[in-house]
Amino acid sequence: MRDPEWEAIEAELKRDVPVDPVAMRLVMQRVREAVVPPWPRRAWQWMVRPRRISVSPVGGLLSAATFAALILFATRAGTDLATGGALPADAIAGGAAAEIQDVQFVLVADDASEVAMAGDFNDWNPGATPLGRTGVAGVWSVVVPLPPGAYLYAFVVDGDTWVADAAAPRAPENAFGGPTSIVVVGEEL
Amino acid sequence: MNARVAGVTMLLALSATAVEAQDPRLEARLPAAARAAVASIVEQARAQGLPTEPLVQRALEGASRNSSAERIQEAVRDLAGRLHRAQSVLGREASEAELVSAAGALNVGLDEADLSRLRSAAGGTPLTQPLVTLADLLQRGVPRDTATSAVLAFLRAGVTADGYAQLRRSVAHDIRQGASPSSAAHTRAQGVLLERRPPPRAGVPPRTRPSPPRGTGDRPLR
Repeated sequence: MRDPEWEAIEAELKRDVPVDPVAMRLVMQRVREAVVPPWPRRAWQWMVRPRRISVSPVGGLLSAATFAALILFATRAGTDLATGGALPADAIAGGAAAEIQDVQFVLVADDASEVAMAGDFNDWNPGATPLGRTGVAGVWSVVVPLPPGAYLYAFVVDGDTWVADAAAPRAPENAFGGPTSIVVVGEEL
Repeated sequence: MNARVAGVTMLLALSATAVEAQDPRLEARLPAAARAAVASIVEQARAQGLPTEPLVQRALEGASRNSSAERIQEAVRDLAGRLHRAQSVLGREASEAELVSAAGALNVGLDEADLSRLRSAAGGTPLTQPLVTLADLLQRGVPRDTATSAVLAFLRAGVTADGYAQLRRSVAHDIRQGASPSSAAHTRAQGVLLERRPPPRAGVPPRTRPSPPRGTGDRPLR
């Protein structure tokens, strides 16, 4: 059985909408302000984090051969591979910016006159991320560029009514009594 | 004696002022009565190697929702405690998103032993999506054993983020249609796991489908 509300959300999610410039500015500001730990700590965290790797026998043999060839080349050239080098700050910032994903949020609110979002990505400022009306009656939408992470948020209807996102997981934080949702960005499983 | 008390008081006041100045967002948005206490909790968390941004965001959320200073302090302190519990199980290499989702799961009924089992089952796989799904199921009334078993089975099967989303949506749908949370979670989790299995080869009889859940459906998933 088709649910009209879900159909409206589905139709809206398939439509291209412009990115909210205010949210983009806030996110980029957050990215620029992000404190990057020193490279030895990043390197150590990268080294000690366990990973599950799948590789075919042929791929494994090729990788081993390539690694052996590199070691041989480095030894002969007198190059110390272990010295490495830290990535320049602009490269790190560029990498972080490249991981930003556009996330579309949709709310069906027939009688609303204005809808906004407040969440971990805009310092819970309801004025920072307004939703726009779409071509479908009662359907509101906005696209927010977000770096990888988990973000709690809620919709704010007509300035004073907090509404959870029916299409998102429920946030397990309810210290302030209002409905809250959570979105996870950029996590590969 | 009085001079010593005055000195200590002044020192505390100065340190509170210094701490308060750490994050201008707190100073700008929080009720005056909450600023110093929240800033102090944030600084303690930073000293413990915990992520501080989630704490700041909880405080700002409380301010936006017009909560009292006491409620904001309590919420931030509670979250800091759960982040610390989560980090003690998941380790310092856990990402901020993993710690936030783990702290949330601890808030809705999970315990450290559950977290530890999930960490072991996940290996190096990020735990954020599994924990968010687990917390969502728990909040929809799915018993802890059923929800935990489902997510553990997903982790061992290498289910992708889409699979977790499918589970959440279908369980929510089934509950709205009147199914019990337990049987909805059990049936839908098995459905996602079955979809991941490769199709039977020609000449090989297909495996028998498991019988539908009866009663509570609290059996562990295989």
